[in-house]
Amino acid sequence: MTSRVTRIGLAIWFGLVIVFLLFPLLFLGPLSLNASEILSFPPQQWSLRWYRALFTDPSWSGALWLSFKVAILVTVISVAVGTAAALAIVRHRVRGSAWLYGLSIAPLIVPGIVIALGMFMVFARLKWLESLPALVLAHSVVAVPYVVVVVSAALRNLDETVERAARVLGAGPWQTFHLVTVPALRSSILAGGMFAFFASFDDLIITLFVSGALETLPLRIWNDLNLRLDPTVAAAACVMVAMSMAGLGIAEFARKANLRRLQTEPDHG
Amino acid sequence: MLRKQWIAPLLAAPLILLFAIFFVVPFIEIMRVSFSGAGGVMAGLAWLWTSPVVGIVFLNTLQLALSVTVICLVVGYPAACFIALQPESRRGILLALILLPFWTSVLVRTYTWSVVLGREGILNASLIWLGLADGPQRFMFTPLAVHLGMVQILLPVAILTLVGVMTELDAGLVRAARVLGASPARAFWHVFLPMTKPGLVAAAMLIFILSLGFYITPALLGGPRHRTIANLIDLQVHQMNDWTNAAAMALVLLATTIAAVAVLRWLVPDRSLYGSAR
Amino acid sequence: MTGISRRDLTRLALGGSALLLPGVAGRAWAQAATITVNGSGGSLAKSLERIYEKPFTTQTGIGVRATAPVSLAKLKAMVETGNMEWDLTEMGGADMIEGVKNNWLTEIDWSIVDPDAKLPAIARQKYGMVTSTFSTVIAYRTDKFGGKAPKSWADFWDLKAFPGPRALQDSPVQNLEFALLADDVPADKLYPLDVERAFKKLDQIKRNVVTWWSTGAQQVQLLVDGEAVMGTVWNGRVPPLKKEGKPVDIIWNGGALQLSYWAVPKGAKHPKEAMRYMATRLDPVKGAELVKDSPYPGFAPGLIEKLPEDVAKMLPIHPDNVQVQYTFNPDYWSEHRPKLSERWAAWLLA
Repeated sequence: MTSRVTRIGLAIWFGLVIVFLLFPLLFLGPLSLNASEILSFPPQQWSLRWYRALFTDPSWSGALWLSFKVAILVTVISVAVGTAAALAIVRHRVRGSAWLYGLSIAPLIVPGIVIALGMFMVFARLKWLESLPALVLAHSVVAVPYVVVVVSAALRNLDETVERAARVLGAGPWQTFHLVTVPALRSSILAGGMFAFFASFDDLIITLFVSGALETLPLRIWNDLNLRLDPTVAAAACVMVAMSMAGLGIAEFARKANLRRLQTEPDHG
Repeated sequence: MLRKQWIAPLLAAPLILLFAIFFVVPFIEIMRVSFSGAGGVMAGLAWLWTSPVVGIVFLNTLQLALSVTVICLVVGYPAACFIALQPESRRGILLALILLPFWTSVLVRTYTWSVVLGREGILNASLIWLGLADGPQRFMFTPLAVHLGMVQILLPVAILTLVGVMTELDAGLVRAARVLGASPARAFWHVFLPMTKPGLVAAAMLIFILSLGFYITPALLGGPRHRTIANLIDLQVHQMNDWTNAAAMALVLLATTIAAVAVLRWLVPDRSLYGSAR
Repeated sequence: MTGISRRDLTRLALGGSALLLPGVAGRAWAQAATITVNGSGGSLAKSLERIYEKPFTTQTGIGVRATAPVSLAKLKAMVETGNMEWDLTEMGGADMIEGVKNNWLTEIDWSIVDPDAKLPAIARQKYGMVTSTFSTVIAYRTDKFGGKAPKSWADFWDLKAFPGPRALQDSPVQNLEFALLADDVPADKLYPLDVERAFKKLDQIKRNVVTWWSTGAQQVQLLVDGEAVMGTVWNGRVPPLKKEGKPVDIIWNGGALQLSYWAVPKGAKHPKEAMRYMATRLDPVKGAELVKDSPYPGFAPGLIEKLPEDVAKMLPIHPDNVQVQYTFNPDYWSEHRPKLSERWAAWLLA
């Protein structure tokens, strides 16, 4: 389908893009191991003090953990809510699909500060400030749009005849969805979920208004920003990147092991 | 059939419920409070109209968002093709790799640009060492720095959105075109590219909307010309204590974005973009 | 029955859930009260907890809950919705004026906070107590001018004697004053500002200002990275970096001395307890302790004498430093800021 030249060209292009995207990570190590209390490169003196600060100061470690917890919950909720809505918009021809689609991306369009202030006022009346569920749902509002956009774009491309064929061959609607639609959508649900995760993990402005005394990582950084931005931020990033790389490694290893097992074991069908 | 009619509203219900409580009500509330003063909406809009700054900042913001969107699509499309061509098992790893930078605070990522582009940064040091420049060149606080910074943050969004769409394409169709004698270029232009249109539109829309909301990166890497509308809104709320002006700007931004998305739709007509048109 | 106001009782009664006998309810409440103190958060929160919050709770039984960040927008939203979360909040000078103008603050009962009038008059205001002072000053790279050091705003503008990029805040506030000082306007004749003259002076330097900073973290970063060789900073961050060996220093001459406050918002649930907590800031021993972590002292009587001279010299309220700074006038800015901010933004774009 594609010639060798095209493949090689694409590979080189992709390599360059990866370098462009990942090069800041190269500086994380030196930035975080710097003894100075200001970000500077290259470091004149090396030290682990910022890692110590990260793990021993509960305001940092707690913030990191809270951010992680909130982001996971937001991802689960957003993927469920967003995928369902995308199905309603694309597959089921709801009357007013266009409006539903418009509504679902609106939270990205309205400036963050405006919606954050609005949430703050509503939450204050309802006494929801400083409630973890409220924070999670508030984040979900800005995470769901990614899932809707990505999954509905993929659904539009998914050949409906395949689904219809499955139905004709006797699959129930749930079975069709489960066995045909979902596997085909896997990449886009994965992409939407990742966006949702980071929409929450990196959110500052909504958290700033609705979290009360709950301090997420971006908020912890922001609260210092008027005075300082010290290398603890780089240390936190380093830990997260290392953890996710380890996670990737484990996943890859598990996949390979699984593959080998499948190849050697006879099929019990 | 009756059952089928119930499915769609049921699928849409969680989103509608979530957004009603956590988005629509707060939005109405903030608009009500912001425009409750003397003059209401008109006072805010009048300020927008007479301000010597807002119009220029609006145009600058739109221009910045547009150029960032185009760059992200042009750079991201081939990269997404590459990922889509990989076996499925490898795709997940590649996508996660692309998302690695997201673990890092935007502030740190922005800072690393000054390590590279700064007066005493790596690029200037190399240029001087190579004898290509006599003294430090200005790369920081320029359009170049702002675009690099923003594209780096938004490119993963473009790539992931495109990959999501490309992987569902029926490779058979492209192969069929080739078998029937189409050149690779023709097969790409007439078969592959049109099939990825929903992905392109989705990616363009996401990136354009997200760029419009940027203000920290442009403020840290750019100059006064990179002041964005989001920055002005923030200023009105946090420092001027003027919510009327802020809300008026937000409304105009909302209208502008909707208009821009409509133009995008008009430029790239796709009847199947909404399910209702199918 | 120290800790409960009539408003609280009304609220309690109207709430309907706890129609207890007022006396009993009042006492129980006072024992269990927890005040919410809103501040800047961040690294300083730990020091505040150790020095002020914990000992106060041990002593009085009143809990202290710290929230962040300082936000005029939040204050306004809480007043608008009638849900005041804070009992006490930090406020900057200009925010303080907005707060008073909009009637968002409660009058301070000085008989609780400072019955013996130990604080200087400047710290005892109708709606707020000064808790800290800071100064926007010139900072420069000590290694870039061949051993010469700038001494004044005139030097800041002198691109021949002190060549190199500058960094200033993205705001007309203070920058107009600095321009006038550079143009030889005496510090006590600054207000009302001669705006035309200030912008004209700023025109001279505009092209050499590489960037206009917006956060405290940026100021020093720009100097240490070498993006700018001279710029404005808040006084606190440079001395520790200088001690670390970074080639940076500040000059106090022409600095803008500013105040920040503690205020009790209207509708606060425990105003009396909050004011009792305010009184802890009068203790110079605690003040001296805090200054170690944050060189932004308040007016606790006898504080300067409690500190070693080298620490005291680095504070904005050290007599030597007070003499050479000008006193920033938030009233002027509260009135003229909207217009001047717009002019500033237009000037930057031009």
